[in-house]
Amino acid sequence: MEHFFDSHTNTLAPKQTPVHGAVIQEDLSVEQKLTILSDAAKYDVACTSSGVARKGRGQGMGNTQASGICHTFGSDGRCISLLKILLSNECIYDCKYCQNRSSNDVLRATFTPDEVCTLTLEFYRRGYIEGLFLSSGVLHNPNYTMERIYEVLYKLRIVHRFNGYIHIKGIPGVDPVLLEQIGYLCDRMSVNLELPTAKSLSELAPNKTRQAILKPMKHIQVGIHNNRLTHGITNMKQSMLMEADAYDASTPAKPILGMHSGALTMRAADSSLSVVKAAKPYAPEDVSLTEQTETSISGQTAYGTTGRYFVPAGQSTQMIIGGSKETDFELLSITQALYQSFDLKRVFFSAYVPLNDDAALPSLDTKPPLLREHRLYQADWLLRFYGFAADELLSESKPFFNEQIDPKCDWALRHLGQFPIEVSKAGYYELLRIPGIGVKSARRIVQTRRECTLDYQVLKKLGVVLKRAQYFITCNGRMLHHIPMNERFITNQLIYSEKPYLPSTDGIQYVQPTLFDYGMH
Amino acid sequence: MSETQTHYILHCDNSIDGLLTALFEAFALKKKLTAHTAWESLPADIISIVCGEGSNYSLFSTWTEVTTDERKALLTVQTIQKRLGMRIYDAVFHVLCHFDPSRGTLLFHFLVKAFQTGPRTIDRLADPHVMAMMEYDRKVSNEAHFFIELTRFTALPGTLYSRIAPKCTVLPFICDHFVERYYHENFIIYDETHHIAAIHKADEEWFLTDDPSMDVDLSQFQDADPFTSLWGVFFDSVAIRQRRNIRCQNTMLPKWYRKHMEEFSR
Repeated sequence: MEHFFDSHTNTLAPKQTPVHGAVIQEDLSVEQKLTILSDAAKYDVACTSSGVARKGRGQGMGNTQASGICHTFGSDGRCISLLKILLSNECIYDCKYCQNRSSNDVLRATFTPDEVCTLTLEFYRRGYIEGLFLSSGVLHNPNYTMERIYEVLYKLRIVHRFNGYIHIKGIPGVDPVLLEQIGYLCDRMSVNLELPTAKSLSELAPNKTRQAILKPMKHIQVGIHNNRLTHGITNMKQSMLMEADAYDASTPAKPILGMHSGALTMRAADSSLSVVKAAKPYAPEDVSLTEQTETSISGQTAYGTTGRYFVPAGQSTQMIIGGSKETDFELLSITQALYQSFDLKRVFFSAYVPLNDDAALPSLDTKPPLLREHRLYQADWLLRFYGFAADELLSESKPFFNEQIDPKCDWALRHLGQFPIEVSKAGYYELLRIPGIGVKSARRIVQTRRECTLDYQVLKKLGVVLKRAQYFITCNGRMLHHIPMNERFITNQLIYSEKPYLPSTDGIQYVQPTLFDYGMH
Repeated sequence: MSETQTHYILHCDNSIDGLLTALFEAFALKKKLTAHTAWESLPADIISIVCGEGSNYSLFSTWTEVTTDERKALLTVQTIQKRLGMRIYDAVFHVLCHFDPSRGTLLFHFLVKAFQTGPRTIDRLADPHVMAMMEYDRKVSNEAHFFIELTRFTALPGTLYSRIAPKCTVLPFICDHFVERYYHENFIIYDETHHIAAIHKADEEWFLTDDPSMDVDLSQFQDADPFTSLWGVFFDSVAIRQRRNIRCQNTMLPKWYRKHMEEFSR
């Protein structure tokens, strides 16, 4: 095979440098390697296979669906869609929260490219997986590691003609030239933000810097942008449709005509509910990459102008929740800034699971903050599909979500003046702001009320969750029950009728009820 | 009640063609009954369609056996497509693949309405029959999607073989996906509930058959396959112990789907 050239030291990378603290055992079986390297990869959350539709019937095997396909669900309730493994768990870095940090005494293993190819292809043939999720510990240096990953990719795509889904983790500090080569062969790339702010990053991941993480993210974004423009597409978030023979070097690019931008942008501009804000979105300073990147990916190299796309399924990232001291407001503002300034497809949150005993980290018996993670995902959906902005949901003075009720209910309760909303007249984006009404039920309401009148029975059948929505809607001028529009009353109703078992977070004020609360004037 | 109106029950076999023939006969009967009386003045449940075995005779009803007739089935399909459009036909076809033995009656009532009010009938979700159609349609589509996700193949010599046990007839909806995916492979998907199989020969199109020889016992092949046990190893080690949540797993993947999934049948 090729030599692996280290561009940092201008030397050929030595083949075997024992990583300090590592137990290196020769001759591990594939089964042992799979156990070690899937165990090491499991804390990466993104196991999605969505964002690109590639036709099948190519020279090899495989296709992808834009919606993504889950193949099974693990005992932690998470979907398993991809063969999620590390290429190697040897690592020169010493990030405090990570199981594979160089100072940890764990069994180390490295797959050969052929082992990864065989596992991927044979699992795919049997319908176990949708494709490959390949990450790696840092072997020697970022470029050497990414070259090994490129080798796997090249073998899968070009030698074996594998047309399934491939998600690659980008390692901070990698050369853009290498990033571009990889980008043309994979579907999605992600660079982990790891920790939400530069401060906690320097405390917990001393070998990584914020700039080194944001740089490849910016490279990928610019690459996607330029490459899509080359193909005649101006929408950066749209799912791509690729031909089955896209990876043949001879396939010419098909210009897609008549595509216009912004077809699916979900802004609440037309909603009377949207709070008119100053044009400046809240962008925490350390997410905006001020320094201009010196080299960028043109997306128009030899490959970029064939039927291939650069990172067609877009890029994502993930942040650890609860390992450091950020507030929900900071997290959500950073998430929003990432969507706006990096065109990310998804931002994933990973509840911190304590693996290492370290003074800088929460203690080992800390429970992963699963409910907090859940509320953040709910808020993330509100940002992406419901036209909400981060500073509508939280603020400096109220920096945490109420764990007892979901963010949308929480928002509605603080804006009771805008309710109740008449469902038979409200616009689509107004409907989306009502707790208990989602994208599907809002669409069904709009579809049904053109043809017939709505009532509460019909709304229930259409999928509206009345136990939440009843406090916020009227249907043909009537509310379902006589409900006092009182924040305290509705909050208590929402909490105790739904999730009475959730622990109270910010001490609820108990007040003697009066007859007026129940409408007996 | 001076004159008791008899009810008509049409019985057909549990196939798509059988149901389409019964729908044809039901509309012929409706035409006969409404020669002198308005349809609205007749009892709503005057015509019903039942299919499959195990249905009972009932009092004061006329029981008619319908013999499956491909020509009548085709005529029904063409009429629906021509007069009501492909959107309604797609919904009708999905409902035909549901497992409820009374789906024929639902389809009949829906089609009577649809022929009166046109292609937009399908948007009138406030109507109980239209709502029921949407719910059945959604059930079949959702189950078909599940089987696109969960269908597992065993590598037999020269052929990939899969057994599935769906409640609805999902084969017509999932095969295109697998043909796209494994175009250069021979594969068989055997539906053990409905005793039908989809066969795909490498580089060709697929077809359905009810040939009983497609029913293959897989246990001997699965034990010999190293990748099946590797998959089990991966499945166990990729779950995070500290996040264990069996309730969530059961919600996302109801247990009856797991019958032929290797990671659960170890």
